[in-house]
Amino acid sequence: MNEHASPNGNGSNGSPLLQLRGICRSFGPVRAVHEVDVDLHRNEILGIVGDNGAGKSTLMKIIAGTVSPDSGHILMNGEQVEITTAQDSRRLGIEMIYQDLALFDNLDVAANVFIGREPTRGLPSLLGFLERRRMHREAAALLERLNIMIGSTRLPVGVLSGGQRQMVAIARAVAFEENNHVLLMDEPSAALGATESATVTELIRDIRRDGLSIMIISHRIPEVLDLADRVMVMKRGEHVATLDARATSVEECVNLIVAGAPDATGPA
Amino acid sequence: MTATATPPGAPLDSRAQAAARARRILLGQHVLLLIALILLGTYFTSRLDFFLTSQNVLTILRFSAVTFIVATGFTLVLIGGGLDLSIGSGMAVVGVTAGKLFQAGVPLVLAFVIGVVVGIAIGWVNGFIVTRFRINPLIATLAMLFVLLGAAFIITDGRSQQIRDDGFRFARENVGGVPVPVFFLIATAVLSVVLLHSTKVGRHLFAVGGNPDAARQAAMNVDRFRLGMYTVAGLYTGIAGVLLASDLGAVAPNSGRNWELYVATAVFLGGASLTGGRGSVLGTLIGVVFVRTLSNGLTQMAVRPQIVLIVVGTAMILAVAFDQRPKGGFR
Repeated sequence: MNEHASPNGNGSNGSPLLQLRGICRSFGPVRAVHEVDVDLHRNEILGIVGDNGAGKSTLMKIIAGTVSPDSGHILMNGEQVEITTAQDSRRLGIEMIYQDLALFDNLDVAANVFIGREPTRGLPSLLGFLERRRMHREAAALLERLNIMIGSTRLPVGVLSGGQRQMVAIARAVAFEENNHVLLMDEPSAALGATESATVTELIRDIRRDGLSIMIISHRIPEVLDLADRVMVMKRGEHVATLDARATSVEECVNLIVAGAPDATGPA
Repeated sequence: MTATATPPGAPLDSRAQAAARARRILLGQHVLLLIALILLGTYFTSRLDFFLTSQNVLTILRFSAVTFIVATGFTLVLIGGGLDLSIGSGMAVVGVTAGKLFQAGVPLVLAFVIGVVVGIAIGWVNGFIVTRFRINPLIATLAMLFVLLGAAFIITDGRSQQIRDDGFRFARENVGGVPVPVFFLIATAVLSVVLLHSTKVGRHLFAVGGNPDAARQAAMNVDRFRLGMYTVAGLYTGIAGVLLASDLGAVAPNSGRNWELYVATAVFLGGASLTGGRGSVLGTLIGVVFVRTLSNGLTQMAVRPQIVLIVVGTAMILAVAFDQRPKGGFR
């Protein structure tokens, strides 16, 4: 598996796109995330693994702005940024796909892709008239470009398969690409069968090729090692290690997840 | 590189889109309900000489108009993930307020306008209780049903009174042979269809009702949507309440009785769902005409009113059972 196209390799050239420094967050007595440093490089896929309660999702929600950190800071392109709401992170070009996908089963594919960002004309803001034809046309073009096979953009999302739903969620996240830099994915293949999982993996590779930097939480270690450039291991809220996905093994990852490691390899 | 490992995307041509659309329309609940309505009308026509006369059809439409207006508000609330059981009592309060003001010498138009404003206020209070105190809308609006019913009786001292004034009874007039309320029906239908199905705010109402958590993640203010939708439903209750008082030509504190039954049955028949995010103006219109045709025909067949209640209540149960039917049928 040497075809991982990763122009910036392991950050050997160029500064990281996104840097977290000393991020802490507790829920009551529980230290969900403790003194975590992360670097996400341009055009990289960074896997995040760890047991349940290791702090993976909390870390991701902090970047997405839906959970605020108790301390620590976030830098984007080397400059410190304030992310206190989901709108903040979206403005910075960070999109998150939650495990439940946050799709609207009662709305069709095009409506889901454009939700909250519908093109309108006529009256201002919420009273504007939806440009439905344009949304269907652009959504169909988007699906085609991403090789996503869904019969019609008029299908309600509720009738789609798990893999198709995942792909609609991804399509929605990358729909406005010129602004997008970072995609955060929480367990994209958790509920999928093998074939669908492979299709979603292929789609993630495709959108990376388009220039996105991606962070993926997953429980499926072999899949992460196959897909990611680097893998970050978390345990009890702490950043245990970051491994080169090509150089490590499933066994090493599992050992770190279970035992943790005394010598963390520094900030990811 | 294995960039071409996946086959090219499936055809997304206009033919596939049109086919999907046709399938949804043909198998949609509206068409089934329309067929049921035609069958019902055919049955009544075969049993009753008077049923299919222009006078009776206009009577059904007149009754349907007021029902449709308040049912449209009910539909909006259901789509947004709420429920409003207070509609009947709300209409009564609106009607007796307008009637009492008119009797006290307030100019006719002003009395009606104040009635509508009272309806809007009632809707806002419903929304405020639901969003601010986080009370389940079933409980909140059930409580409001009785609060408003009590208020209607207090305003009228519990007495019904005729208002013999042609201006006040404008809803009984015909214009070009068409009852005045039917014009209100058409205006409400057009405005609601546009608002609900063509604007961004309508689209977002479906989103808020279909998946509130996802709506929040898409930066929508769910509570503000819900407060707004109850307030708009209050506007519909206000208009319907004024039309009902005008049609009755009376202040009658119990005039909203059983309206919850007719409205909810019509709206559920029309395809709206308690789980939120589903419903349409067209479905509600067909549902309302169905329910009003049913009660009109049964009444003419000299079926007792109590039996009509049982039939309509049963229709509501069947509508919801049909809506929730498992894919493999009932076991």
